[in-house]
Amino acid sequence: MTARTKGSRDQARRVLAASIAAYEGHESDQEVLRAHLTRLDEPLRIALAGKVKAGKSTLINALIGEEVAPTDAGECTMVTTWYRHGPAPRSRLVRADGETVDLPLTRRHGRLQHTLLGLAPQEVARIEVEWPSPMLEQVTLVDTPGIGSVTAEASRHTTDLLSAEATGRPVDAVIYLFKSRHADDLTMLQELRGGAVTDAAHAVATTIGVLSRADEVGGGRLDSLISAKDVATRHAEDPQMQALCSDVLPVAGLLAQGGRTLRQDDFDILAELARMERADREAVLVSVGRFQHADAVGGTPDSRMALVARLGLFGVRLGTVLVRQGISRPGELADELARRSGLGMVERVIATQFAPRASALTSLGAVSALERLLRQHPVPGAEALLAQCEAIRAGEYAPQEMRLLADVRQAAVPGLDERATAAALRLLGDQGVQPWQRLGLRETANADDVARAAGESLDTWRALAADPMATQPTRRAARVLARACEELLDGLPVLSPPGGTPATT
Amino acid sequence: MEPGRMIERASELVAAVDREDLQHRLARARERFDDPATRVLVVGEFKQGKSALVNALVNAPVCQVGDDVATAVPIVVSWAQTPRATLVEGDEQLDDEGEAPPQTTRREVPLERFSEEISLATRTERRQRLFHAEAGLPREILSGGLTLVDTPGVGGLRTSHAAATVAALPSADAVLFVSDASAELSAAELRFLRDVVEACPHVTCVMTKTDIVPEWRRLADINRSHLRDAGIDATVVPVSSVLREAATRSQDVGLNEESGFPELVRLLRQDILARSRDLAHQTLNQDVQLVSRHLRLAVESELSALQNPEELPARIADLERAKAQADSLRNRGSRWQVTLGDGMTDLMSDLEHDLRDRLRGVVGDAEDSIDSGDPGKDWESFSQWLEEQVGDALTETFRWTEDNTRWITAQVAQHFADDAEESVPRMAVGSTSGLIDRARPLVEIDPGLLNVGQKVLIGMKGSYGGVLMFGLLTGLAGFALVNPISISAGLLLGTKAYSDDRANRLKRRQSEAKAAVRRYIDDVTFQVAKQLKDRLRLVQRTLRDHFTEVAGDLQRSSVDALRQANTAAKASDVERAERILFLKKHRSRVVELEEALGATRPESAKAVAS
Repeated sequence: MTARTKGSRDQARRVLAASIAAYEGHESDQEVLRAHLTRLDEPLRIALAGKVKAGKSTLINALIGEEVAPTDAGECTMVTTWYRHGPAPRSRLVRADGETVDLPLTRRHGRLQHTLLGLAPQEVARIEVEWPSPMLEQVTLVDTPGIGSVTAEASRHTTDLLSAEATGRPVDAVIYLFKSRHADDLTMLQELRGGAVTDAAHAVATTIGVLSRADEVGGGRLDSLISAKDVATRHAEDPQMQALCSDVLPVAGLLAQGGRTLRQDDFDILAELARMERADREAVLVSVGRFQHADAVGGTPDSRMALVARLGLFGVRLGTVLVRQGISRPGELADELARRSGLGMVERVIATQFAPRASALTSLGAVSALERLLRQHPVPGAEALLAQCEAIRAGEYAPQEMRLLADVRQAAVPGLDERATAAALRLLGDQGVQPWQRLGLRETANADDVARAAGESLDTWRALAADPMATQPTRRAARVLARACEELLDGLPVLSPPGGTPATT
Repeated sequence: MEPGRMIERASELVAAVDREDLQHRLARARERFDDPATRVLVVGEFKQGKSALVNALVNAPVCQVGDDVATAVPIVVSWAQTPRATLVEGDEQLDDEGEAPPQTTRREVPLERFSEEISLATRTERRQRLFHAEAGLPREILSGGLTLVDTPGVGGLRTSHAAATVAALPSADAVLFVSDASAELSAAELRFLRDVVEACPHVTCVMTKTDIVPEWRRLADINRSHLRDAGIDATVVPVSSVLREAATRSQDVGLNEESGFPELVRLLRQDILARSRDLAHQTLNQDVQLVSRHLRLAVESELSALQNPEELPARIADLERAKAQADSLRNRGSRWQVTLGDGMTDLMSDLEHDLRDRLRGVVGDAEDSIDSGDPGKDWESFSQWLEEQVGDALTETFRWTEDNTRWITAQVAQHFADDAEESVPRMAVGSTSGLIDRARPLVEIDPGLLNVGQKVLIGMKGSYGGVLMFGLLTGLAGFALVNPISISAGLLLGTKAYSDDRANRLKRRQSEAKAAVRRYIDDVTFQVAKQLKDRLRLVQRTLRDHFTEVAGDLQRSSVDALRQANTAAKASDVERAERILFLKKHRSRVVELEEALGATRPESAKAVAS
């Protein structure tokens, strides 16, 4: 293999190594660079950010599939918390002075409790939780305290994390949660775009908006999720938002999280509700308070309260409807609730848009940080190193691909018919990262098949890119797709399966 | 005493001595008392359920609600015999002279088409602009003058809407701050609340959407402690508009109780409405007291002249002195007139200076920011930032103007009272509280002001679109996509060849952007200064009219007494005895009225609520 085929990760590794040597004698700078070097081999880091009570911890729990992030009616995430994969559950606290302390894993009402050991938020750097979970094998999730919090120290944690200019952003992508488009949200998104990464297009491609608490958009009405979808689409189509994040997805986190922990006696309550006369049922479900005191549906006031706290009133309403439609087991109901919650779309974005481009994104992140350092503390040879950095950035088009993938999914690229759209999605890794998957071949396809299909595909996209009748966005999209075909032809390991080694032909 | 009876008795007494001017005064007091609007502003961030709250309170869909719609203009809901709806519109274009305030027209629309008409009227392409909309409903809760004003939600509570809301606050008798139960109060909300409390101390925090939040009780407690920590004195009332509507539909009393609305209604009717009725009572009482003092001054002067003829010359001299002083109070050169005129002139020039000074700071920041980047690329976010900064600056200027206006008013009242004291010791000046508030139109700075300048910004944005497109075609980003394979080699060359041209284009964009910012700020300064000055002129006129009238009454009373004394000097004994008898009777009735007025404590909350 030539050096070129090794991709941007190896190039980034080389330029980082060269830079560490160039910064001989500058301990702290070297420290920062070494951290970036280590990160190249680690899973992608995705931060969940948003205002207080936007539902960040709830979404984390839904993604991990267990209630590892504490949630509460009041504000409760006070420090940045990292969730990474580990063979066994484990939790520790990293103090601001760098010392680490193991934390006991205590549960209350089935939920993990995090204690700060009596330290104030500003005395804690972060909490690190290791947890065995398929999601965490792909990516590391970072839970952040809400911005705009009454506790200013908590909010500072987040702004420090996401716009850390000096040392480069410690996360590779951001899922930004918001309930309604508030000026604070726009400000934060703008900071994400302008702050930590050199390239705005890169920052936008690695930022996904989530319209969270989608079940509350319509005040918990049964059509809330449909309404939320419309609202999310309108947000996503808004030019101002398009300049800040690559997509906006509606998610009812509570539904996804709560469905997974549904027990049989909870299900029995829903079944009892489903059996009631329509008028009676509506009277019971008119408010949380009524539901709590409706002894007719079984359970105790406490258990009913717990159920409505876990699913939300909307979840109880929807669950009842689903049971009436014939769902008869808790597991089945949980799946259906999770499916409707919009969680699947977020998982898919993580699995197809973010995770397979981990090496490209971590490399670009490291290169950005290095460029900044080289400009701020120039050392002999910085010019040449900067040129190398620029070359890596120019050669890496993962951000354009990610943006295009999001755009094609939203049907925001004009001039692509149904077939072309499907082909484009596949090529960008929407159905899987293996070359045969990306080219729409059978699993048995050999290298020749792949090369032939890639060549044909390349011709199609090149023709479209040169088509004078096509619009500018269409041609731009075609160029990105043609380039993806070229990479496949070259046998380049561009996309890697989650947590695994790069796919090769 | 019952207010109607009080006016009636005073009016009879005034008629007996034939004082047209005092009759007129009584009529005005009555008018003021009978138009008892108690304005309750419903404010908060957007999507918190403000409109739904107003709808649930009046049990009618007067305010448009939806998952993705936002209230665009203030909606004023008050009592009316028959349901009616009105749009208040005006010319979008203010004349260049900036002389007359924009003329507004009122257009009646069918109530059932209210929401559609509002959305139609707020469409941008129309020349006529909607200022606000009014709905009248025959609802029990609105009786007695309770007026609810649904305001556009403030996003981030810092933009132009926030400035408009803060500016409207002093005209409110009370404020309902709305925040939903899905989250505790945010730092931004608490900041805004602090501003609100400063401008209007009667604030209630309404926590909406309790029907879908299991732990709303705990959240209410959390909010209470946040308010306590922030030093904000406001009750928290948790409600659910959905439950209220369900309760109204099903006539379910228990459900209504659960909705939390009875508590809110009690608060509106008994605390807020009763408090403002108390105030109206007090004002009326004072007005009638003033009239009765005028009567007493006249009657006693004449009586003493008739009873003690030997003191007559001295009395006449006294009265002449009093008349001269009352004259001088009406004189343009009198102390209170000078205080008022100079104070307002100073305030107007200070205001312009203050505004320019604040906005100059904004321009400076903006230019620094333009110099440090490419304005074409970030124009969208930049213009938003700029608007926010301007909004902040305007809010400050408004508050500053408000404070100073109050101070000048107090000063004028003081000087007037001091001067009047010498001539007519027992004559109170009357209350000035409420005077300014009444002179105030509903929404002083309308957010549309910023739109004038915004057009410039949007215009610029359009032209940037062109520049941007062109830049993209020939610039690095576009180039990188054209020839992916040879990019690494071509890149270094490309950068050099393009850099000169790029630098030139960037310079041009930067200077164009700066010019746009300056034009925007100039427009905003001009329009805002004009509107604030118009408002100050209105305040000045109102104050001048008020005090001139009081001075006129003083003069009239003195002249009257003087005339009577002169007549008395010439009268025959029989006439004199008759007159004395009449005056004594009259005086005892005036005293009776005064005693009744003094004994009348403003009726308490119960009376109004019942």
